Order: sequence, then structure tokens, then C-alpha cells
Amino acid sequence: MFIILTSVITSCKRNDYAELKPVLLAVNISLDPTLAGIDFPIKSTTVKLTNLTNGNILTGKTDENGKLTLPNISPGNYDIEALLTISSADYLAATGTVSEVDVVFNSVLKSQNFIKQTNDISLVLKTGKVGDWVIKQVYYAGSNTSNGASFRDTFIEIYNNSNQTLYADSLYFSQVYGSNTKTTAVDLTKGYYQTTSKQFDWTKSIGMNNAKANSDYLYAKTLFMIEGSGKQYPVQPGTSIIIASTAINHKAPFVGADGKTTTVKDPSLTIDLSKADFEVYLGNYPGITPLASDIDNPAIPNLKVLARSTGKDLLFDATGRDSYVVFKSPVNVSTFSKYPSPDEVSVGTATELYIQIPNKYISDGVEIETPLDANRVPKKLSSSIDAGGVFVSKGQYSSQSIIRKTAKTVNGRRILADSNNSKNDFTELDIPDVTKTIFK
Amino acid sequence: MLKNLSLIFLLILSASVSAQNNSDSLYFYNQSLNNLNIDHKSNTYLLSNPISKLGSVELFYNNYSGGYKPVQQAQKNTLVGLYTEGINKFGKFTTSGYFGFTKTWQDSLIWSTKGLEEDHQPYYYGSIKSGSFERIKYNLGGNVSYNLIKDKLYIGGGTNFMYNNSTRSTDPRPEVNSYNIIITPEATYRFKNQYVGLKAKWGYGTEETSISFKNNDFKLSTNGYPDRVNYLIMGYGLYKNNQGVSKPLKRLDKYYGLGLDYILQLSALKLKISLNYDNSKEDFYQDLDNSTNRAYVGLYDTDNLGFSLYADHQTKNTNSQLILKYANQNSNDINTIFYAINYRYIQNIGDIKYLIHFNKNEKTSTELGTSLTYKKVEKNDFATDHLVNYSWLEPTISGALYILPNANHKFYMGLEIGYRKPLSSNLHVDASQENLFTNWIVYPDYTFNTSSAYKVSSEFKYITNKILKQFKTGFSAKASYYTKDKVYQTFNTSKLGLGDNLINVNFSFKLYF
Repeated sequence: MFIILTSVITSCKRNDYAELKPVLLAVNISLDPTLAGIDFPIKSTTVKLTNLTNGNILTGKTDENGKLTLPNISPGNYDIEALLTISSADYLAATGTVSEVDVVFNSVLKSQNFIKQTNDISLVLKTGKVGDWVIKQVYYAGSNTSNGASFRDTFIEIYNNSNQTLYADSLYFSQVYGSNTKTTAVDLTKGYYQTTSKQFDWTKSIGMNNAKANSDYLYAKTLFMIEGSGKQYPVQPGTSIIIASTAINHKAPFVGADGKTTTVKDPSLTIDLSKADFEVYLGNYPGITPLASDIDNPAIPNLKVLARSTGKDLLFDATGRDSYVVFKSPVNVSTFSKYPSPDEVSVGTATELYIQIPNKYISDGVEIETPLDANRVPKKLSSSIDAGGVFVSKGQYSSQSIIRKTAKTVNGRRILADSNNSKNDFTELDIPDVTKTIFK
Repeated sequence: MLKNLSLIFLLILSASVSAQNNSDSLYFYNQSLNNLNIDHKSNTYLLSNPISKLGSVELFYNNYSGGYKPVQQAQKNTLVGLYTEGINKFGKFTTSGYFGFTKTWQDSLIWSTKGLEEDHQPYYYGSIKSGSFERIKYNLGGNVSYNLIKDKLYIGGGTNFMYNNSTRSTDPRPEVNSYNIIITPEATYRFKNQYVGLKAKWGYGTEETSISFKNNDFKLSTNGYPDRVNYLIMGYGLYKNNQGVSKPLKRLDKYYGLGLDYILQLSALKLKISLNYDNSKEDFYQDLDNSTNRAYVGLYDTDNLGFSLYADHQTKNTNSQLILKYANQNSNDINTIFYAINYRYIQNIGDIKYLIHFNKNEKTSTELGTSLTYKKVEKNDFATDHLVNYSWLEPTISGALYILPNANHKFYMGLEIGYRKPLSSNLHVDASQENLFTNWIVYPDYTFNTSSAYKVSSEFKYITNKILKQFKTGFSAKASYYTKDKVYQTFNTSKLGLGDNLINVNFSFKLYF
């Protein structure tokens, strides 16, 4: 009787799972097929594996065929990154295009699960646009909510990283829309998340009929444009423009749209944005009452607002859950399609639609992260735009900004690092620079 | 349920208190105390126990301190508690009950926020920062059996309820609340001088571990304060940074089991044999945002197989007792990162003990004893390629002196000397997988578990009926001293050294009904 009953209980055990064992990982590296005919040597591409559970890092180099075999890695979830640096001379020889800095090709795959006995992974090396607009500085964290200017003093700085004069006319700036549910708390059974990245699966969006909705596009939460005649706003090589949320001196008292005067208790925590190049003002936007702090500085040109989502000013997410892109479009953005968020089950007149922007038009993008791993949300930008996120170490309302590092200096002109990996390309400032003269 | 248990318990005690008896003798002699401790856990054993009424209340204090210990054990531990138990047989009923309460203060405990300090558990939070813990534990239970067919068939069962609360006063500061209830229906068949009992076991438990910070700098920091980072441990080498996760780690337990007890009662020999199989299933999870579904962290299954034999033999001038015990635990997790087994824990413990009491002289008698304990433990964390196994043997010898100058006083003095000798051991950590957990816990614990040590323990007991008229009163003091002999392996990257000794003292005051 005892034996029979024991057998019944043991038959209910749930350990019919395999024991984990070290696994083999075969990495195959190839170049972006759009570069067909261009022959870059892919030997010695650096492959970096980061174990997402315990943070262990393994690195290796590919052979002349772009292959790397790691026979005995721990099973688990990994971020895998491939990096190939082509010297400017080799790049010129292969493409006929001049680049003042070495060109970095990279590819990143997030949260890859290697638990089968043999695992194959392919990475396609891509590079962003060479010598174009780059985001130099982002002040998204704001300053102390009691003693500083809170969210009001934020801005973004956009830099001409080329050796030619660029015109800011019709330059677009966008905050990218995506899921802000913590990656660790995403419920995949909902059916509208991508399994690996845990970001929204845009192929599930109502009306979507594009299999590459996730890989080839991003979706704008906000979209602003610098209006100009075409050559109205020249930006010289090695110089930049600042787009402010509100272009006033935040150190000084100001009278808000509600008639109330606000005084910052500790001016050293904030900045003077009265000399910004552009600002976002929603006072003229139909149908909304902007924030009282959204004051129009008549001396500073306003950006054209093409999409604002629910914002009543240009609002940066102080906690670090935003992604930003700048681009110029060869076609009218009004022709871009718009789609509802994939978690919408029906579309009505009040349903918000997000503008679908092709990745190929993006000049530069920066993915912001929260300082703590546990609070991070799924990436919104593809790795060809930004392979790794960045954050200010002291977190929200810390008065810190992120600033792009200098790669090299040519005849006194700074060429900023642009490996399409913000994790490597950026560092931070304890007080943001509004003079546009500080380089790191 | 608590109310019902309390009623049963009070019923037992009230009946027991009604008359003074010689129950203190059962607690006084080592062999009868050994029997009493096991009889409480089984209706079948209780039925065969000739005692009809018994009760005791104990207040106790325990303190240990020292560095000769595993890493995830406090450097200093102070405990006070109350324990009371009783047995009462009336009519067709046989009942027993117990209630225990302890409060514990611990200093310098690192890398563990476990509510119940179980070495084998794979899923818990931990941080490098040491801290002070306070723990409160209640344990309440009882057994009832009813003689359905006169002197042949008995039916009944037992229940146990446990609540444990643990808090720490240093960031990261956990609060852990654990509950469980276990029910054991049981049937016993008696055939003359033999008893056979069969019992089932079913239980349910929950645990919730919440982490909070008082200092926001610690809460939001990732690199600035590495000792304040809250890690989620998931085995014996696998962990992840859990800083900023605000959702509690929850646990849901289910227990199943079977037990078979057999007793043979002859004129001079009594045999008690017990065979138990238990299975527990523990689910660890966190709640998801905006969803009623759960994010499972891991599942953890444990099989326990236990065997025990108690043989008591009496001659004209001696009482002797042989105890054989064997316990096997086999556990594995299913980690939801991999949906595979990452952690396996195997433990085997064998114990043989022999006591002989020479009781020719009624006023002064002696007892000699010897025991041999074997323990083997294996922990395997597959993802991080950590494998540890070790075994040791601990022989002890003991002697005791019982002095009964008259009917009003009883004195007891005991001494035990033991030596822990490591046997086989093996440690494998792949060099590429050495991590914080390896250096803080795996290496120092391996050094401890493979070291040899001496143990000396002495105990003094005094029982008298001269202090209180209605009850006999007992006092006891016990001290144990463990000192390191040889250390066979140390590690350069180990973050902690092994202390030289550990001292444990215990005082208690007891009333016997």
C-alpha cells in the first residue's frame, strides 16, 4: 500500500526537464547586403557576449569567413554584439566615400537564449550614415523638483559632424513611441509583444500589413520640424544647435501662462536657455491648454509641431525611458502611414496614431535607459541606429546631461564618436552645457 | 483553523494539569526523552506509549557566537522562546498538542534574506552588506486519534501551523512572512503487541519577501554602493542584480507525503520503525504589471525519504537504546530563464546512536553512549558550472550521571565529546564563471565544510518539587564548544576567512505537569 501510494505521488513530479549543460555557440558575421560588391575584410570582427543573468562577459574574434565558434559557454540569455572598425583609408578605398573617422560597423542582438546543445546565430554588420547630423547632448533628466527647475529646463543639442555646412531647415526631431512596461514585467501572453525584445510587435497593429513593421521602421510619439526656407539655418562643421523645451533663463524668476511667478530656489542647479536656437511652444497648438511653464520666447524660433502625443510641452522622460532620433526626409512626412499602438483592440476617433518612419532616413538616434537594470523598458531603436543605451548616473532630476565623446580633432574641428552605440559614444556632464563649446 | 487548534491544545493541557505525575522523569532520562520527542509526531507511536497524561512548559534562552560557521549564518544569534506540550488519553481519544514561540536576534548575517533558514533553498534575495535580523516564529499543532474498533483500529490525524516573520534593519531591508499548514490523516491498526500506522500528508504554504530601502542613494545606486545591491540568488552560483525591483518575491508551497509506522512491543524489547516519503513543490514568482498573470522565477521540487528505527531494550540492571536514522533529500529547480534544471541538491544523512543506562543503583546511575553521524551534500549549479560536494563523519562518545538523592530532587550531568572528520570532497568552478557568489559564499563554505573540528558539550539538569507545590520545576544549562582543527583548502579570491570556534549556550526553566 505504502509503495503504491508513494508511486502515485512521485508520478506527479514535474522534473521532466533536462539538466542544463555547457553549450556550443557558432557565430556567423556578414556585411549588410546593401553593401554588395564592396569588399571589407570581416576577419577579426570582435564578438562580445554579455550574460544577462550574472553579467559575465566573453569576447572572441572571427576568422576570415566571419565565423567564431565558442564550444563551451554557459547556457543562458545573452546580449551579443559584433563590432568591426574599418579605417577611413580602407573605407575610402572600398567605397569611394570620404570619412574623416574610422567607420564602425556593428550589430547587436538583445536577450538571445542559448540553451540548446548547439546554437547558431547570425549577425549582419551595418553602419549608420557617415558624416551627418548627430545628437551631441541630451539633457533629459531635469533638475531638482524642489530647488531646481524640474522638467522645464530640458533640451537636446544637435551637431554637424561632417566637414560641410549643413542646413537645419526641415530637420526633424522625434521621440519614439514604444512599450514602457518594464522588460521584466512584460506579459508575453498578451500577444502583442515581440518574444525576444519584449517591445511591441507592430505587425499586430490594426491595419498593419507589413512584415518588416518592426525591423525597418520606428514609430513617432512626437515629431517636430525646424521650418525654414531651405538654407535659412546653416550649421557650420563642428558646430551645433540647441532645441529647448522652453527657451528662457531658468535661473531667473518667470511669470507663467497662468500669471503666477515661479522662482527657482537654487539657480546653480539649472541653466539659462534664453540663447537656445529653437524651442517647442504649444501655446498655438489647437485644442490644448499648454503647461503654464511653456512660455514663448519671441526671440527664439519655434519648431513646427507635427505630433505631440499627450504632451503639453516638449517633455523629456526624466526617468530615462525615451529614445530620440533626428532625420531629414526625402519625401513629405505627411505621406507616412500612421498606426495605432499594437495593444489597441479597436480604433476610434480618439485613438492615437503613431507616424511610421523608415529607419533608413534616420541620421542619428539615442536610446536612453534607466540607471537600474530592473527598471529598464524594451529598446525602441534598432541596433543599426543605436546598439546600446545610455543614462545619467545620478538619475532623474539630477541636473546631469549626456554628451557625446570626441573621436578625433581635425584642424581644430571636433569629430564626435559615432559608432551607433550610445553606451560607448556618450559620457555625462554634471551641469549641462548651453554654450555649445564643451567637448569630451 | 487556529481557533480549533488552540481549543484542542487547551483541552489537552487542562486535562494534563489536573494531576501531578512523574512526567518529569520522562524528560529527565535521555532515552525516554528521545522516545517522547518522536512519539509526539505520530499517532501510532503515541498509542503505544504507556503514558496517559503528560505536560510541560519551558522558557528557554539560547545564544551562539563565533566565526566557525557557514557564511549564510549569523555571527551571533540570541533566541528566547516558550514551548509547551502535552499528551492526554481519555475515553477512546488519544491527544497531543504543542505550541512554540521564539524570538531571535541575529547579528552580521550576509548574503541571505531567507525567512526560514534552510541551506538547500535556491531562490532568495541577498546582499553583501551585513545586517541585524529579528525573527518571530510560532508553531502550533496537535494530534488526535479515536479508537474506532476497540483496541484494533484507530483513526485520526494531526495538524501543524507555522508562521514566521523576519525583518532586517539595514538597507536593503527585507521583510519576509511565511506561513504553512500541514494536515496528516492517519489510521492505525493494532494486532496484539504490534501496531501498524499509515498516514498521508497534505500541506499548503506561502511566503512573501519584500525589499525596501530607507536611503534612496542605496536604492537607486548600481555601482556606487556595491554592498547594497540586492541580488536574486537562483541556485549555487547563478544570481542576478535585482536592484530596483519593487515587486515582492512570492512563493507558493504544496506538500504531499506518506508515512508508515510499525511498532513491536515485547516484554523487554520495543521496536519502533518509521518510513516516510515527502514531496514538496515550491513556485517562486513575481506579479506582472497590468496583468493577473505571474512571472515565474523558478519552480523547486524536493523529495525526502526518511527511515528511523528505535530499539529499546531492558534488563534487570540496564536500559539500552539503539537509534538508526537515515534521511535522503533530492531537490532540483526548474529555472524559468532556461526552462531547464539549473540547480540540484542532494543530501544524505545517516546516524547511528547507542545508549546504555546502568540503573542498578536507584540513587546514582550512569549512562554511556556513542554515536556516529555521516553527512554527504552535493550542490550543483549547471548554468554557472559550480559543483560542490563534501562528506564528513562525526563520531561522538558521551557519558551521563543521574543522581536522585531523594524523591524531591533529581540531578543530571552529561558530557559529550565529538570530532568531525571530512571524508571525500570535490569542488569544480569553471574559471570563466567565478563570480561574486563564488568568492563570497562557495569558497568560504567549502573551506568550512571540509575542515575538521572538535566538539565538546556538557549539560546540567536539576528537577525539584520543592519550589512549586503543584508542579515539578526543572532547570537546565547546556554549553557546546566547537573548535577548528585542520583546514584543508583555502582560496586566494575568497572574501571571508574561517573563524576558529563557535560557542553555544542554552538555559531553560521548565514546569512539568
